[in-house]
This record gives sequence, C-alpha cells and structure tokens, in this order.
Amino acid sequence: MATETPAKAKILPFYLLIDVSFSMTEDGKIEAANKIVKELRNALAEHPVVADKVRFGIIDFSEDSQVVVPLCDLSMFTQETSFAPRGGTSYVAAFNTTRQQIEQDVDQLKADGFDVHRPAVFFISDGLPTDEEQDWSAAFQSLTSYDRATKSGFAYFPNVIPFGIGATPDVLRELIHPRDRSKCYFMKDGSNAGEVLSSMAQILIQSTLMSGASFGSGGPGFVLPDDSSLGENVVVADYEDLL
Amino acid sequence: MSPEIYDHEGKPGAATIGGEHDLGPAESSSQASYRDRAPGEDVAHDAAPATDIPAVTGEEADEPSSPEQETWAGSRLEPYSVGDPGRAALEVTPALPESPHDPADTQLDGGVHGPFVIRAASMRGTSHRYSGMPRQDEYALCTCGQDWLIAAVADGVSAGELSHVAAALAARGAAGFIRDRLADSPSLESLPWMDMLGEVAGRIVLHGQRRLSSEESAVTLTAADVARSMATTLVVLVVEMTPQVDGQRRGSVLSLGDTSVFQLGADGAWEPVTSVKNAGAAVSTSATAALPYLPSYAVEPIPVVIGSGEGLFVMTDGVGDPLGTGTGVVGDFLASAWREPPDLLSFGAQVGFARRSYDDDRTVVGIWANR
Repeated sequence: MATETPAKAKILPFYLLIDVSFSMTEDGKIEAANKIVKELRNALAEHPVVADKVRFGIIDFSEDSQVVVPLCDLSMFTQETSFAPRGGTSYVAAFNTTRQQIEQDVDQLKADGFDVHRPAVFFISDGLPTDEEQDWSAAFQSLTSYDRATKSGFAYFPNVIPFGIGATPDVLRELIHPRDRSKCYFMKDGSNAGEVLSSMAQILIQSTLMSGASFGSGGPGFVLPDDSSLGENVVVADYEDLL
Repeated sequence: MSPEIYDHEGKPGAATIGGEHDLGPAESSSQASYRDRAPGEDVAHDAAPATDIPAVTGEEADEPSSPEQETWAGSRLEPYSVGDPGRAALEVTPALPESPHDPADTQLDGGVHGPFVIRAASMRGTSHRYSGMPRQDEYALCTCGQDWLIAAVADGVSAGELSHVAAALAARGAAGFIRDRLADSPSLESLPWMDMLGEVAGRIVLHGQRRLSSEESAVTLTAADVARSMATTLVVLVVEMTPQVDGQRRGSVLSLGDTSVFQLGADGAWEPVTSVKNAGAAVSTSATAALPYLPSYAVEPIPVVIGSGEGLFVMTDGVGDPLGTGTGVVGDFLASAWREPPDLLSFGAQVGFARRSYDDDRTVVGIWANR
C-alpha cells in the first residue's frame, strides 16, 4: 500500500537473471559474466547518487534457478561471486524464481518503510530454453502481466530487457517487456560471445546508472542507453523491429 | 597588544578580544564594533563625544594604550541530515555549470509583508550537482500592493534539456499573470486559473519554438515537440492580506503536477493542501502532469485559510516526497525547524537536509502568519 508513513528512501530494484548452462563455459562467456558483477560494483561505488537508490539482486538459472546475490546495495557487497555452470536452460525456473524473489523483496522493502519503484530485470541467455514454448511463455506471463482495472496478475511486474548471446531474436523478442518501452540486445553474427557479453555489460551498467540518476528527480526511472553508444558486436531491436 | 583569539564555540558575547580594556576614543563613537552590543542596545547611549575619525586597526594606532582589536563570532553552519543521509550528500562535489546562462545553484529570499514573514529557498539536489546539470526548480514571489501575496513554484521535468527555462517562465509568468488580474479585479473567486495555465503554456511553446527551431530551419515546432525539450509543473498560492472577521486570511492554490502545498498548524502538525503523490499505488512512479501540455479537465483551485501562528509551504517534490504525509521524521524535523520563521541561511540549510536517495532539486517558499 501507499506511503502512509513517509518513506525512508526511494529504491529502484534491479535483477540480473543470468544463464549458467554448460554452454556458458565456451568462448569465455562465464568469465565475462563473472566480470559483470565486479564492474557493476565498481560503477556503483563511483556513483554515490545512483548507489543511494539502486539495489541489485543476482539470480542464475540452468535446469533450476538460484539466488546468487540477494537484493542489496551492491557497492557495499564485498563477497566474491562467481557463477557455477550446470546443465539445462529452463526459462520456466528462471521466471518463476524471479517472480517469487521480486514479490518477497518488494514486500519486505515496503514493510521496512521504503518507497519502491518498478523493478527491472536484465535477462542474459546464451541458448534456447529447454522447456516447451507454452510453458516458458506462461511463466513469463505470470512474471509480467498485470491488469490495473481488476488488479489481477503481478502488481510488481518488472521491466524486462533481454540480452541474447546465442538465443535467437524470435525468442528474445517475446521477452521484451513492456513492448513499447523496452528493447532487446543480441550478438552480431560471427562475433565472439564472450566479447559480446562484455559489450552488453556496458549497456547494462549504463542503463543502471542512467536509470538511477534519472529516477527520483522526476525522470522515468528506467532508461536504456542511446543506441549509438553500443559496441559494434551488439544489435539492438525493439519488439516492432523483430516482427 | 592582545593576541588574536576567537571563540570556537561562538557563544554570544563570549568573543571578547581585549574586552578588559576601556573603550578607546576611536571606538567609542558610532563606529563601535558590534561584538559587545546586546540586541537592541542603542550604541549612541554609551558613546563618548563623537569624533570624525573612523575606527582604525591596531597597526596604525600608536597611542600608548593600544586600541581594542575587532574580532568575530559565529561558527560554521552544520549541514542537516535526517535519518540515513546516504552517500551522495557526503561524497558529491558539485560540478559547475557549463553555460553562463544557467541558474544559480542556490537562491534564497526572505522578507516581511504585512503580517506575513516569508522565506524562500531553491537549490540543486545532489543528482544535478553531481552531473553539472542546472537547477530545474524555480520560484517567484510577488506582492500586489498591500492586498495580496503571491508565490509560484515550478519544477522543470528532468528529461528536457531546457526544462529549467520552462520552470522560470512558468513561475514568473504565472505569478505575474495573477498579479495583473488581481490589480484589475481584486477577488480570489474570479481568478481565471485556466487562462493562466493557457498563457503560461503559450509562453513556453513560443520560447521553445524560437530557441529550438533555429537549428531545424523553417519547420514550425508543435507544442509536443517543445514539450520534449522543456516542460514543467506549476503550483501557485495567492493569499489575501485583509483578514476575515475571525482574524484568519483566505487564500487559493492552483496545482498542476506534483508540486505541492502543505500547511503547518500552530500545533506543529502538517496538513497536505494538495494531494500526496503515489498514495494508493502498488509501486511508486515519478510520472507527473506538466506544462505546456494543458490538462483536458478544468483544474479546480483549492481554498486555504491561514490563521495566526500557522504557516503555508509551497514546495517541489524534492521536499514534498520525503515529507510525504508529514507524519514521519522529515515532518518532525521540518515542523520543529519551522515553528517560527528561521533566519534566511538556516532556512536554506534546512531545505537542503541530507536524506538517502532524496537527491532531487529542492524548493520551498514558506509563509508564516505572525502569532
């Protein structure tokens, strides 16, 4: 419910939802993934204005899905993190764990007196889901759909920004949410996936910094970097582009 | 000669270099230093026969009895923090503006009009100080003879690179428009509020078209084109100086977007005059209505009444958001700080309190009715 007692602080929650299936061990992808956490932490440490408002949670997925770093002020999180590759690529597990975690985190933050803004999920996958399309599609619906009129669905639904390093554009397209404001990023053919993931990390960090800076000063609170600032090995597309 | 000392604690009257000496002739005139004078004490009373010699510093005087040395008192203003101050308030070094036309980082005003004491402060938040972007908040204050007091506050929408200009146009334009109408027809009831919004929106669009189209050749920009570069919220408060029979004074508020007005009762309790942002929402949003877009519905003015010992505060969401409904620690802090009108610099420091994540530009115009 609303802020009956005024809030302790405004919070913009971000989640990094990352594929750790065995294929991630190829082309230096898992090393690039491990570096993302370190770079994000450094970026937040250098940007106190953003760090005051942004919380980060990290969830991995393969055939199952686990919370690697619970939602926290990443600039203060000193533990070393590295992803452990496992078998399978279950988008269902990924989306279900994320929904559950967002619900728990937002409820807790609100109970603790924080003013929570809409979460954002950076979704990174290097392959196609091993679940049936109707299943992962239903899990995604459960994560992202909400009807304001009837208040049915998931009121804390996140903005989702899919990043693909192997996942095909027609699958990634379905994970753009909301379709009119978010985008997806995928690798240019023939690029090295590990290097692409490093480029994508920069997009993700830029988005976090820009969102964190805009939010709370009347800005939209969810910003993607200008398309011209992408690495050469990354392609950006919105939902319409991919139809 | 006495060594130079000063009082670190800044106790009133405690900073007395050479205080044990008699007043020398050069200092006993109306040039006597301020240091030992109690507030309201008339200097002329203890003045020795006046001389025309201005007070000089110790170096030049070679009388055998060394004249007293002037000294200073006071101490550094301590920043306020409320709850967790966060990292930004402690770590951010403000960046200077790129353009010489940018508004000042901080603007302060204060004064008295009839029974009212007024304080106004507008300053960049840590976010704009960090990025070097200009202050996008503006206020305008004016009087209309001895009859009316007008305050307007505008908050430029952060995405627009010229929103600080929109805010200045809106605050000044609205205050001026209302002042002119009151001069013609001095009545709260007949104020043409929608005309005011239309006039201000028109000015923003005109200015935007002039300023933005130079690069884009002959194409005439639409209001929507201009709004992408410059947009602003607006709230206007008008207070009648003549009291009602019960001694209270009437006023009227018009608010578009998330700039707000709060009343501070004589009992120290906050009462929101305008609606509180995000009340009832599952997750909060920063979305707001803003000029030059005109609302599709008629915006209704909200009546207010201010009695003795009460205050009205017109503010942007930089302060309105952390204040919320006024029932938390920020409300307690500001209510205790603003029970009486503070001195101007203290008011500025109070508006600029540090609290984690509240890094937006801050503006408050406070109006106190004498007890």
